[in-house]
Amino acid sequence: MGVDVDFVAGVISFVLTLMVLSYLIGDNPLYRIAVSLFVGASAGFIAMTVTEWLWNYWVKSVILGPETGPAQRLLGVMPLVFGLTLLFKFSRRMAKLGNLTVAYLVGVGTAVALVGIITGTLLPQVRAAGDVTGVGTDAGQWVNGLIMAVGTICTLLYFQFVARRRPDGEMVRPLPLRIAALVGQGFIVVALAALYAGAIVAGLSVFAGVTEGFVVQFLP
Amino acid sequence: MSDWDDGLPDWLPDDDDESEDDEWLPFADDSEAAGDVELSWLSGAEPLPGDVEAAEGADEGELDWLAGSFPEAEPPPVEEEDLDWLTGSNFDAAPAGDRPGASIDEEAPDDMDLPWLAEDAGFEPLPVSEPADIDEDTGLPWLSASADEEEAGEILEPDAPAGASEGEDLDLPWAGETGDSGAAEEVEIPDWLTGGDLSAGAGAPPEESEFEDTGDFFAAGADEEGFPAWLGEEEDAAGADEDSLAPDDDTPSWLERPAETPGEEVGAGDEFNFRAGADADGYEFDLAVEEPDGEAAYDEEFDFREAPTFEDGGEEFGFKFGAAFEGYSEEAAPASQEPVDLDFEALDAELGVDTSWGASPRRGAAPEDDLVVPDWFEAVDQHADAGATGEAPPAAAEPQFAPGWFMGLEEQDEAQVPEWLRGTDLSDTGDLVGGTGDLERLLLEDEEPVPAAPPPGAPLPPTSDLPTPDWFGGVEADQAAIPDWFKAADAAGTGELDFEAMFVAEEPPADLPSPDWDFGAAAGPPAEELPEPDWMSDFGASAPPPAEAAGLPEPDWMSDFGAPAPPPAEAAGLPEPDWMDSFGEAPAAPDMTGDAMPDLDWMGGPDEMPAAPDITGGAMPDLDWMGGPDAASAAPAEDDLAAPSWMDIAGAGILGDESTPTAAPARPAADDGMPDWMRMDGIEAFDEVALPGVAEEAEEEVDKLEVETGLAPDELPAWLIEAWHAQSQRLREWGITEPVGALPPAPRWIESVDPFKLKLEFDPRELARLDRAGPLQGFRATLVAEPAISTTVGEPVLVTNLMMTDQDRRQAQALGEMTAAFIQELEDAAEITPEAVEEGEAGAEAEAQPAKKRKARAVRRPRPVGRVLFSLLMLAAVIAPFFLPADLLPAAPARIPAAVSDVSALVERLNPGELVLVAFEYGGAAAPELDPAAQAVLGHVTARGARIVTLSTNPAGSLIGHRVVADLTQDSNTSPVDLGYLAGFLGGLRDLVARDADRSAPPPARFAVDYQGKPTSLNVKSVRERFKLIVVLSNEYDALRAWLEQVNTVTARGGGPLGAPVPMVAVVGAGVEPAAAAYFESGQLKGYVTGYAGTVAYAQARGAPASTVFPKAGQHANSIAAALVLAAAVILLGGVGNAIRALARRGRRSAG
Repeated sequence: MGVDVDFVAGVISFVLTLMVLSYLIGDNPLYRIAVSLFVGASAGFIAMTVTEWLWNYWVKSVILGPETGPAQRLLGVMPLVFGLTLLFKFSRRMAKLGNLTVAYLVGVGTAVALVGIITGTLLPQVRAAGDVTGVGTDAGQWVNGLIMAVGTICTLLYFQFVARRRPDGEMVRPLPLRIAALVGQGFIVVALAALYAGAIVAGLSVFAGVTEGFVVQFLP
Repeated sequence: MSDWDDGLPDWLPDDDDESEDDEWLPFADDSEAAGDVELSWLSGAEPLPGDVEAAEGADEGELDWLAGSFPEAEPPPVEEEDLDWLTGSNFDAAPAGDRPGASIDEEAPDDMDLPWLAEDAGFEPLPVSEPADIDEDTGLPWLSASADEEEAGEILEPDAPAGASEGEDLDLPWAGETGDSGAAEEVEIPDWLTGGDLSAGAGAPPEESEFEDTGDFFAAGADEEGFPAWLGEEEDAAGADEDSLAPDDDTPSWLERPAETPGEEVGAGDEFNFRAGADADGYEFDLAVEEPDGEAAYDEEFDFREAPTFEDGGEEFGFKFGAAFEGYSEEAAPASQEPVDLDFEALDAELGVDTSWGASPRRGAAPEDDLVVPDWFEAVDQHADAGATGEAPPAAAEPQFAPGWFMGLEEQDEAQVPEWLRGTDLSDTGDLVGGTGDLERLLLEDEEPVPAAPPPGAPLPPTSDLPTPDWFGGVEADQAAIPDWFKAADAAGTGELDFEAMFVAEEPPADLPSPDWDFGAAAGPPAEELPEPDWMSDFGASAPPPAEAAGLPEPDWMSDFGAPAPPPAEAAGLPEPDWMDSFGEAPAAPDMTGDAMPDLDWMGGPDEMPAAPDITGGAMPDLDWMGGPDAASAAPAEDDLAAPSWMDIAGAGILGDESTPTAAPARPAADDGMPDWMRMDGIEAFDEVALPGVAEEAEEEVDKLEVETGLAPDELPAWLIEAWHAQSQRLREWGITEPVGALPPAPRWIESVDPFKLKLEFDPRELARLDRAGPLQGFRATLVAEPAISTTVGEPVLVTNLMMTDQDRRQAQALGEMTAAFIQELEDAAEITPEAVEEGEAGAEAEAQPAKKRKARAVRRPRPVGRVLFSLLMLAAVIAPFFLPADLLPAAPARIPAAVSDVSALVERLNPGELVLVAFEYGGAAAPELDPAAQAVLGHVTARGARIVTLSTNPAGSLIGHRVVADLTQDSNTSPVDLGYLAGFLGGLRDLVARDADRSAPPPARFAVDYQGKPTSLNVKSVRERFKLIVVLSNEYDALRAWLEQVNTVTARGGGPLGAPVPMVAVVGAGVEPAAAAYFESGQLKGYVTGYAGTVAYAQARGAPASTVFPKAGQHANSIAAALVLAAAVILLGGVGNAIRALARRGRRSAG
């Protein structure tokens, strides 16, 4: 009689899920065992994946590839050299050798991220928030567009901390700004609630999926 | 036993004096410990009068009143070398000492030599022919070479300064410039020291002065001629070697070194290496001299802790300075272990000698060339001897050497010549230093034979018969002037001084003089026996005779100025005024509101009696009343020394010193020995001036003060009344009505810093420090930094009578209530039991207890009943639907979202063989949620015949992708490509579309090989050129945003040779749906599928039932719905409950 791999996997997944959920009661060995298994398995798999990528792709293909020229080989070695210099970070005395690599990584990463945020998120989102050309004549879309615009403006005004000082010394925002900030605060609450609800739903979906995978094994 | 009794210096072994010295002469002990070598006592042919000592003390601390008013009082500690000139002049006069307050250094320069060695005895003409002579006269007898006849060039060790470390290079500027400078520990020594004149080893040795051994050195007449007999080590060798004296040698015979061993004569110019060092403890001193050929000529170790010994046998003159460092305290010893650069300038200052001249000794120079005599001295000499030759002294072509005290006196004009010098009978010597007089002849002329040492057993020649320097003639050169202790050395009457007799005598005569620095001596010799120097006339005029002063008690408060306490025997029977204690224990300033401390000039006195100071102006009173011509009358008489009771502050309880005797009974103001302005009767006049118009409340305050102090109003000083009144006024201004009760016992740390119980400790090195620059140059122990170390004296006394106001009481009560409330709140909130609170109050004790007890006291955490209940309910809500009918809730949404339908439409437009780039950006934790969605969308792609190319910036995602795609394509004709992991995250993504952004960029190499390194044959030049759809599967917002920002911004561009825009869709978890929706609304995402609902909707959009993606789709939907309802209910209930609690708390606050 062969062992049903899906059955075994479903049972193990369900048990491990319950062990993780046992943290609701409090920190306990079951939770720690499950988390340790998960972390250990993930770490091992990541190490295996990176090593595999490094050897199979970078070394065999980029550096030692048959179609790779000398210049490409040299360029291919440079990342490895930079990566090796990071190992000197383990030594306090020789850690400076890795500073160049860190500087390169931080500099390039920051530049890339900054460009991506501006071109990929900030500008498109601003344009989308102010674009009313696509609203058309639908009243519902007008309302939707209006809510989105008001919500965006009020949310931004909420983070405006310009205020006046009363004679008694109290710092008070102007009334329009206070109203706008209050509305913006409401939008923020809704947005955070949506994210929180989505997280809950995601968790419950996972739990339900695992439960389904386990229950299905016993249900007709 | 005091030093006055034994006549020995303190640095000589005398255990009896240690304890006493430590008590009353800490400064002196410290100085000794610091390496000060007291040599002036050697000149003590006669005891130093107490008034002279007092006068010296006045120079330091302006306490000259001690000389006038309290001659028996112990003067403040002074530097011993500063008194050398006193002893050297045989007490008659002090150069420039007629100026009260003049510094010692003004009178005696730092380089002052000590000619006492020859002067006191009066036996030896002042040796000036050789620098060594001068050196010998400067009070450095240890520099006198003592050579063993087998060890040529052996010299005595110099005094090693305390703190010299072993192996430390010694800076010996006087040691000359020759020698092996390369040696680390070798320094050069002058020829005279290396034996040029002492050992006859260098240069032209005086053939006439060769001795056979060291024992001959002193015995051969030197002791009688130029040295005190005690410096002669053995008389038994004197007779045997007296023939070896060089009668015509200009070098004093006593300085001569025994003859070298034949054949070891060192020629001129040969140099000796002088090496010296001290051990780590600073007690042992190693001195070695090497001959030029490297052979050790002398090597000796000295232990400073040992008493000075004169080793028998005549083979070695081991003068050891152990006793000089007897005061080298245990505390100072560790500090001295640190390497100390031997500064011979400081050494000169400490020893009171000038050794700098030895830096370049000029051997063979004419005696006349080496003598530097101050002009005034020559003038005096001529003045004294009116019938002298009148010949002008030959001008010295070069600087000449002279005793330091000559140098110091050189700057004085003739009018300031000490009287003792004026009175010196120079008639017999003619010009003193001009080369015509007898003294000159005695000192300088080569033809003058050195008197041979008397044979053993011969009586000591009369002092008058000895070639005494004329300046010494001013002193009574009779037997009476010779100290008894000195005469004791010649008890046998043989004319040879028995050195050991002086030191070994257990019971010295009662009149044995004390060394000049013996401050412990309370009673000096009779006044009539002491020549009173003129310069002390100012003090003497006001100073009572010792006989009168002998009957005066010594007030203790004087000891606080550094003056040692009198010997018990001396102080016995003398009443000790209690009121003086207040000076030592409680610094009760006369004027607490004054801006300046009292000027002690009053103690030393101008002649006129100043008027009573006005202390009302803030300035401290001038206390000159204690000095002055009538100081004797101003000084408190024996019966009048009792302090006024008002000064007994401690006794009044103000200072809280319970150990202090209570206030003495009120005495008449006239009997307290204090100035009028300090007398109680002065208050009346003062009140009229300082307190005119004071309101009645001020009188009430005075009454209160009277109650506090227990004194009558007329006994209260005006300043105290005023201070009390001001304090009361301030208290009223601050709202402090009335002093109340006593405070609880003060903490120990407060007791430890009781200023009235502090005892300052000074570093002896600081005290020995000599200022070398600035206005205080030449002064010693000035501006000594107060050490940070302070210790308490005696048992701490609790302060029990501090005032506590009502406000203080209220604040303390409020603090207690706050603390109690805080503890109660902790108990209520964290279930802290009263036992735990009590144990928690144990504080530090709890820290020291074992971990078990601390664990038992730990605050117990509340049991998670609610969380357990919620967990059980959630588990039931998720599992139960799977066992219930599936149609409780609809398995699919009623309407397919647009985002889902758009995704389906994009996939539907794919053609077979087209490439779809799929990014798996989720791990195993999100797999149960996203795997069904991924299978739904990618299954549709596979169904369309498109080729899936997977990669992931998440290492775990590559595994998920590989598994999912493998499951989907195992039954299809498509061949997915698994590229695996994409390194670099943002950079890697940007590099992936680099050619899409810039056509000149190379094609992305990542598409060339799969995760196993095998070629993919995808031939991807650019993403837009090759791919038709990009699908991002992620449960994290960052991953989705990264793809949108780095890739979609490039691939979404339309047109151009690189191909049409590549749409991007997403399959995300429910938690990322809000972000995906935003990008979908902006048009960046062309569609997205979210979680279970999106998956079911996607299947529905394709026209497939939900069971194609979820076998138990109905139960699955019910499970999720039930769990969501439960979660929402819990959240809602929790919110309502928190709102109710908040309202209730607010109501309690408003009610309370």
